[in-house]
Amino acid sequence: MLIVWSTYKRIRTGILRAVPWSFMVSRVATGVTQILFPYFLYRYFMKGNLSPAFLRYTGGADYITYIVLGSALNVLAVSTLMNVGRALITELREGTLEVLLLAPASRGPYFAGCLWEQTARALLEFGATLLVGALLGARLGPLFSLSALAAIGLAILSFFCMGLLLSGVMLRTRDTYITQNTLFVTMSLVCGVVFPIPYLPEWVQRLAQVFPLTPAVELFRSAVLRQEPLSAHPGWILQILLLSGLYLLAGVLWNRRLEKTMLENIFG
Amino acid sequence: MIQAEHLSKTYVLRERNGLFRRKSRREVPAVKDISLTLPPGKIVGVLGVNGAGKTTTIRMLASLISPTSGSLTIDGMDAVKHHLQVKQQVNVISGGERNLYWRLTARENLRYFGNLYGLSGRALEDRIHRLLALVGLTEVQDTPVERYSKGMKQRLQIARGLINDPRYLFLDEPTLGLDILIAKDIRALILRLARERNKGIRLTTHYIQEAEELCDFLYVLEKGTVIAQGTKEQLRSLFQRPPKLVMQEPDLEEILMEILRQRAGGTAETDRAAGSAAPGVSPEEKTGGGL
Repeated sequence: MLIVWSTYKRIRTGILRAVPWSFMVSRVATGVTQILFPYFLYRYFMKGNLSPAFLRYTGGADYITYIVLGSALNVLAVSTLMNVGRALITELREGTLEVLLLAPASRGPYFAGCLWEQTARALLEFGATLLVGALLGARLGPLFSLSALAAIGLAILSFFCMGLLLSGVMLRTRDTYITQNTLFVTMSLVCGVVFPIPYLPEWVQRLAQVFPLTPAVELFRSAVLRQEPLSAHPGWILQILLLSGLYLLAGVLWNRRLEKTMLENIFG
Repeated sequence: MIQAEHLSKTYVLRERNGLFRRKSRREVPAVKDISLTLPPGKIVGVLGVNGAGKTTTIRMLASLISPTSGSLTIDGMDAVKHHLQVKQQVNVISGGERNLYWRLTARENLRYFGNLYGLSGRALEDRIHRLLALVGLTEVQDTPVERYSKGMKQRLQIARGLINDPRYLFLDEPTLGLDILIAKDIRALILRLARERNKGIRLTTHYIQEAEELCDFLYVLEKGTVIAQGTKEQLRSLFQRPPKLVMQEPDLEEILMEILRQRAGGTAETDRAAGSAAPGVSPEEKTGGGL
């Protein structure tokens, strides 16, 4: 717990000293843009008309609420993946990786500290996105139900586990921009963030199932839009837990292996 | 005591030759069959040109990388197998300005690194207080590191390297790029750590004078192999050269040291003396402000 807390405090202090507000504003702006773009298409291009297929796929959901919930969870996914994923490569770039690896502390609590710090920030962005969505007409009344909160918790867990694997990918490729942006654009496109995935070709729908965001966003919407309990969707919960377990295992094993060879590959 | 026997390290490099070609695999032997010892309370120097294998040896001794072959024990314990226990007992201090969180203050840096070693509470705060005093950073302890000069960052690195009170310290060019006064202070500190606090210190340096001043025993590396070893006297006796009687004018370093020493005394007389000793030098230059 000591390392979780001290890592949280160290990152938080650094961020507050470097980019007190601008960082937050840019992240909130990204979330808001994600809502505004489909909102404008819906209002001014489609004139509020939806195909019967949309209503069939979503069980008659109201589109604005649909995209606001999807975009808000996507903001949470992007924040978690980005911050957990690039934690170690940031240490490498700032020249602190060697002393971090030199200490006997294990990486689990370190990553948990990164998660805690970023979740505190990401929830603010998530909240801001929902607030703007509510102003645009989204109906978010049941947002504070136990099911909705549990869905958010499950989603964060799965994004964290995926972030551990992403951390390995970033360290291996020594790249953050291409890696994370390719992933984030793909996720936004295939995971059902602003439109239901049955619109996509069959093979893309299958690809979407490897991202925990796909079942998480469905679970979240079912809890808010239709006020269904989580127990109504054991398949999605199982999928989230299974993907989390797989990503966690792959991430831990790969990071452990990378740590052994990292300094040789980077400095050797 | 740290005992390394027949230690070797071969890096495997995979390099891509073109966008769609497979990566080629290349083996680079960085250290070849090195045996060395580091007793507590002694300073052991490792000399060699760039690429001689000095940093790779430090990384193996500090359990940052595993040797390809050979054995490494620390106080009788297998250091490769028990690397987590080893990490509690060693630390590395490198020259340069890395290895610190620049946005944190000195105190915050030391607190974080202390936590990484499982230290906390009163014990950690007391240790931080003592270390900041030891390296002369007490007055700037709450200033973010990004505002520190190079010398201050180097001194904080030393405090960081001592945060876990290691039995063995690996110093990788600790006075690199520092001015003569700070380098002198740091050398005095290194000597005190070995003599008064019984730390085994392994020093890598390019400055032969520094090695001569500090080291009890020396290893000379070339292309990953030990090509000579011994005490200063033993190394000198290798070629049986007769002692040289040299008449030498005071070098510039001595003059600068004297100017700075006298300037610290703050007497007007000293200023005049320094001025007359260095004609054509402006008062700002004479104070050593640019060092």
